Amino acid sequence: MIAVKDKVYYMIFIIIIGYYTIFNTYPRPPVENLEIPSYVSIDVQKKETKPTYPIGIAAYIFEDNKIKYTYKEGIGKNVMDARQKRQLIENKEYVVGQEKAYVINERVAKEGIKPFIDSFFINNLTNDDAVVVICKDKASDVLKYEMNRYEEITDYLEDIIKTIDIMNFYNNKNSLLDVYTTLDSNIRTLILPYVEIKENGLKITGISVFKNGKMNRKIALEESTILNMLNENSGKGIVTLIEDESKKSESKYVDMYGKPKRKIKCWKENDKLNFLIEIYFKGEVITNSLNRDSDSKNSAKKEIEHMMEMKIEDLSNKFITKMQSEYKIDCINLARTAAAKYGKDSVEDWDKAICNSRIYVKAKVNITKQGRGGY
Amino acid sequence: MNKCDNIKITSSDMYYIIFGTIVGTGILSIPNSQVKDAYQDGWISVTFGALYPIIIVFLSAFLSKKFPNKNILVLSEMFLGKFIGNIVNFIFFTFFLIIAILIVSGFNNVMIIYTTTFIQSIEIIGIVGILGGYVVCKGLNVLTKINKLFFYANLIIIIFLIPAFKRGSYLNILPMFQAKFTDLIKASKGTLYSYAGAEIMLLIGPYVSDKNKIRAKGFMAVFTVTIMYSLAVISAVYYYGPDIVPKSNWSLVNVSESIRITVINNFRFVFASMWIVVALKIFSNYYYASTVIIEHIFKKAKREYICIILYVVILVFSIKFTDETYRSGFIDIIAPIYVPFVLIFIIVIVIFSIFKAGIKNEKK
Repeated sequence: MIAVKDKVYYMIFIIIIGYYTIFNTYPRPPVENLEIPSYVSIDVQKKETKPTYPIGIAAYIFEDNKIKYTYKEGIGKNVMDARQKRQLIENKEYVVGQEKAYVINERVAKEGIKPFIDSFFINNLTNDDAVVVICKDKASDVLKYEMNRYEEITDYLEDIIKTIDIMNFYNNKNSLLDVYTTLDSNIRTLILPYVEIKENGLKITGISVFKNGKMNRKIALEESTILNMLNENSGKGIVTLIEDESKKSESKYVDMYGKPKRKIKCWKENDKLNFLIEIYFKGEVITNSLNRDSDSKNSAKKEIEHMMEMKIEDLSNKFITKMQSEYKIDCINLARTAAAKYGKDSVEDWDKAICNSRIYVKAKVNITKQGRGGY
Repeated sequence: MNKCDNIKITSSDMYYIIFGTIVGTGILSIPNSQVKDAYQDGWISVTFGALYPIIIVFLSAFLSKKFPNKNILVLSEMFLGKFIGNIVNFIFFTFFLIIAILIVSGFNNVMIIYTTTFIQSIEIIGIVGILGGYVVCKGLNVLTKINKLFFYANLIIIIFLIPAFKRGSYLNILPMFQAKFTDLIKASKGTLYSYAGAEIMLLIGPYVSDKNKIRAKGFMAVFTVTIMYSLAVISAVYYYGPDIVPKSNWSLVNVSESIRITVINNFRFVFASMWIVVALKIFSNYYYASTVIIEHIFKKAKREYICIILYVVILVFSIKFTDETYRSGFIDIIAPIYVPFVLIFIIVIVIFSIFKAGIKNEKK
C-alpha cells in the first residue's frame, strides 16, 4: 500500500509533468521556421566616421522538403548591433549555437578581434568547436563562393580546415576554443589559417600570426611550413631533401613523411635567454631516388637520416634568423617554456627577449618505414 | 527524536554524507577564486582550506565519543541552559538554511546559463525543492542511500575532467611553488564556503553505530574532497592557463569542452546537466540538517509541516539570489561571519564537556 504521505507527492509530480506536457508552455517552432547558421563572416567598412561591420550569416533553411543555403547580412557597430539590423530582413527564427566557421577579414583582424571573440565567449550557446579563419578579401565572398559553387549542401571550408593537419605540418588547433586560450595570453602566440579565393577556388595560402589580440602579419606557405614544424602540436608533413639544389632537372631526392615532436631546453647565460629546440622527426620514406641502398645497408640509411637532420636544421636556422631580425615576434611559442621555468613576470616584453636570445636547433631523424621497395 | 530516525547508520554511510554535504556545484567556480591570487599554484592554496573541516571533524569526533547518544543540540541545551541553548541552536539552524538557499540558487544560476535557458528560475528552484523535501521527509535512511548513490555519480563526473590533461599543457602549471605564502593564505580564504558542510557530523553523530571509526572516516571524507578540489583547480589551470581561467565564471564547465564525442555537438551541455544529481544531494543534506534542528527546538511540530514551511522559506529567499553577482557578494560577507561562529560554538561545547561532563553524565 502507498502511504497517504507518498500519495501527495505522486500527485504533485503527476500534476507538474502533466502541466508541462499538455500545456506546453515553451514555444517549439517547426523546422520550416528556423534558420540554422553554418558560417559567419566579419568584414569592415571604413568611412570617415567610425567603422561599421557588415556581418553575414550563411544559413540552412528547410523549404519544400529540401535543404537550401541563404546568405543574409546586417551592418552594425558591433556583432550584436549587426544581428539586430539583420533581423530586419530576416523571415525566420535564427538559432544560435550551430556555427561551423567564422571567417574574418584581414583588415578586421589587424584592428583586433578581441571584441568579437568576447561577444562569442559571453554567449552561453556558442559552439566553441567552430573554426576561425582569416581571409584576404571580403569575407562574405568566401561564404557566397561556397553557395554558388555547390548546389548540394557541403561544408567545404570547414572540411579543408579540419583536414589541415595531414600535410604541411599545420596544426588543427584552429577552433574558437583554442582562440580563447591563446588570444589574451602574453606568452603565447595565436596562429590561424589564412585563406584566399584564387582563380581555381578557395585555398589556404598561409598563416596569420596574432599578437596582443591583433593580427601582426601573414606568413606565406613556404615559411609557414617550417614555422609549424618548429611550433608545438605540429601536424604531419613532408620534408624534401634534394641532392643538388642548383641542378634544374633530374636531381635526385628523398621525401620523408612524418610527424615532428619538439622538446625545448631553456637556460640563462649572463641574463640572456638560451634555447635549444630538439626536433624529433619520426617518419617514413615515401620517395627515394637518392640512395636505394638504404633498404639494405644500415650505413646508407644512417646517411640519409643525417642529411635530413642537416636539412631540417638548416631550414630552421634560416627561419629563426628571419623571425628574430624581421618579424620580431615569438612565432614558435618559446616564451611559454621560459615562463614555465623562470616565471611569467621575470621578463616584461617576451617578444623582445626571444628575439634577443640565442636559439639552437638540433634535429633527430628516425626512419621507421621505407615502403615496399624502389622501382 | 523523531520515530523515523530511530535507525543506525554505519560509519561509511557517514563518510558518504560528509562528502555529499561538502561537494556541490560550487566546485564549478572554485578554480576562479584560487587562480585570482595564487595563479598556477591555486591547487596548493585549495588544500589549505581543508584545515577548517579537519578541525570540525576532530572536534565533533571528540564530542560523539564522549557523548555517544547526544547530538550537539542536546549538548548546547545541557550546558548553556534551555534559553541560550535554543538561541544558539537557532543561529546554527540559520547557518544550514542559508547555505541551502545559496546552493539551490547557485545551482539555478548554472542551469539557466548553460543548459535550460528557457526555463524560469522559480520552476527550477521549485522542483529541486520538492525533490529535496521528499528526501528529507523520508528520513536519514533515504538520505544515506541518496548520498551513497550520488557519490559514485559525482566520481564519474570528475572523471570527465581527465581528457583535459591530454589537450592542455603541463607548461601551464609551471613554475610551481612560486606564489608567496601570504597570497596562498589569501586565496584559501575564498574556499571557506566551499569547505563548509562537515558540521553535519555533529547532528548525525548519534546515529552512527561504530563510534570508534568516526574520526578516521571523517578525515577520509575531507581528504577525498580536498583531492577532488585540487584536481578541479589543476585541470582548469592545466587546460586554460592561469590568465584565461578567471574569464569564465564557471571555469570547470569549460574544461569539459575538451571532450569530443562525434554525435554530441557540445559536451558542455551534457557536463552541466550532470551536476543536477550533485546539487540535489547537497541540497537535501542541508535541508535535512535544518529540519532536524527546527524539530529539536519545536518538539511538538511534525516533520512534514516543518518541511513545507522551510520549503516556502527556501523558495522565497532563493529567488532573491538568482543574481549571481549579488549571491557571490553575499557569500563573501556571510562566510567570514558564520565560520567563526560555528567554530566558537563547537569549541565552547567541547570546553564545557571537558569540565562539566562528569557531573552531568552521572545525573543521567
